[in-house]
Amino acid sequence: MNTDQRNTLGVSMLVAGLVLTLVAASISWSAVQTWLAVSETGEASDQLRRGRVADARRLATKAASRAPEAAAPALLALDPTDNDAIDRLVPLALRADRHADRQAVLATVGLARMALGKSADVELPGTADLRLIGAMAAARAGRDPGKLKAAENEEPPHLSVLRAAHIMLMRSAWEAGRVSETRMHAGALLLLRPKAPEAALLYAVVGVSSPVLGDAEAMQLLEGIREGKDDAIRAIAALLPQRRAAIAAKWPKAVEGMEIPASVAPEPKPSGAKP
Amino acid sequence: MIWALRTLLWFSVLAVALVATARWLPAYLHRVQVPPDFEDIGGLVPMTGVWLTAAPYLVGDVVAYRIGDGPEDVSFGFVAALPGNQVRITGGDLLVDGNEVSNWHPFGGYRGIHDVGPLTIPANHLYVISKQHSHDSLSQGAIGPDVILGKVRE
Amino acid sequence: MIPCQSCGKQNPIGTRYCRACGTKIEVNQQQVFQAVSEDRADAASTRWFERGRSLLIIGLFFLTCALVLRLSVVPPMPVADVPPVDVGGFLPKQLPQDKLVDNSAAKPAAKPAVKAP
Repeated sequence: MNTDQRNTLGVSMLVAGLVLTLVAASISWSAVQTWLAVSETGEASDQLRRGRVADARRLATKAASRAPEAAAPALLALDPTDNDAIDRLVPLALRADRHADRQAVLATVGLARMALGKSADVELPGTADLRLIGAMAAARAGRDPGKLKAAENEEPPHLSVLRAAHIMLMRSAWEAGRVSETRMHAGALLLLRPKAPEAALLYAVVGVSSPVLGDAEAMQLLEGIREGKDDAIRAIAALLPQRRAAIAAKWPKAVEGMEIPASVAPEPKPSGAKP
Repeated sequence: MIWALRTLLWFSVLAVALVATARWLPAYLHRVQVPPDFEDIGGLVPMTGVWLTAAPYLVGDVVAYRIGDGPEDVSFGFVAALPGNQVRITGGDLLVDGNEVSNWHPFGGYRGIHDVGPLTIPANHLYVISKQHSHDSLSQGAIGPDVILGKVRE
Repeated sequence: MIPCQSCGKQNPIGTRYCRACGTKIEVNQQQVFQAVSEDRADAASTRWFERGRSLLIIGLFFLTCALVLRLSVVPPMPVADVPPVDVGGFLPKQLPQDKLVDNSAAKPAAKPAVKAP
């Protein structure tokens, strides 16, 4: 190799080395940003689990700014009442690498749109999420949501979609006076989160509507309701005429305006017995 | 050129060493201590560290999960139900897809209510049962990926 | 370097006898100047070569570390989950009619109903 060739090779290696160093710096920076985003997303999830929604959103927004293509922080940072923010999630679903991320984003868009009274307008083939969102939309429109039977080879629903579905369908069944359906949805919510703030209300619905539980135990369950106790007891009394006499003994205002069937004892099994 | 081959060899050794460290270190950090008062479950020996591996989970696997913020706030239990399974309490028994889960009586948390559910276990969550129901799914509900630490490896 | 007039082998500047064949090396000043400038150019290109090689090695090292950091050390982003969405409270917005739509509990016996005050 002569001098000129060696010069050229030396300078080329120098340039290549500089380029590689810059590329390495860029990759390292992106890695550090991703690491911070992952850490902040984890903290945001923790805050959400503890019920601190504002803190969770703040952390998730920071994480989303570091990793704009990531679905997890974007969903945690979402304000479900903001239409534009919901619409901005759709391109994120198209760019998501993982199937699970894509499904979560689309399910979030569908659920949030349904909650705002709009059409879900998402494609989630083969998932329980879409079926649940459809049932919720039907219940909201006053139509029969149908049975929530799990289908074969269907992807299980996301927890928030499942919970929202049970809440809305329980309300719909309660308004229609369908006791066993109300009880079923309340029981599912109770199994999902036995220590949630609404657990006392759900215990009361499940227990008081049970044909097995006596009046004394049923009234104890009603006693355990803390928030919105009066409204809750009145709603339960409206649903369950056979408990009104016992409820009237402790909470007479709860049964105002309601007929109290006299001396009705709850039967041990649902029998559909003729009066 | 010899120097090029030598450089390549050193880089390969360095890369393998770094990757091995990156792979091994998280597993070491995820090693959890079984608390001394924990009843033997699935053959776990108290006071022994257990190694954790990630999903996929099967019914019957023993998993570790966080029950608090401290590093020792960890509990263990059997996976009773997977995402998509249906869980219900009927006549005092815990049923998963119609099959009874034996030896784990759920009465304590449900105040004598004998018929609860069914609940479909949501995606990425597990229904976990242990001997002390104060920390398992009967009192905490379906546990999610944010608290599941991993499957206990034998 | 100065070439030997007899065998042509290059010898370092200042060598009196060729290292290959032993012939006495006769040089003039111009040859010395030329040899010195060639040697300097050679040394300069060697320095560039060595710097380039060093920076290339350093660049490769940093790139390896960066790739290992990115691909192995950085934890993966957790799987996205649907956030909680408010769909209203648990209680019905309107109370049900005073009848049981399904008969899961026993219907009341046909006794005169007592209206609540």
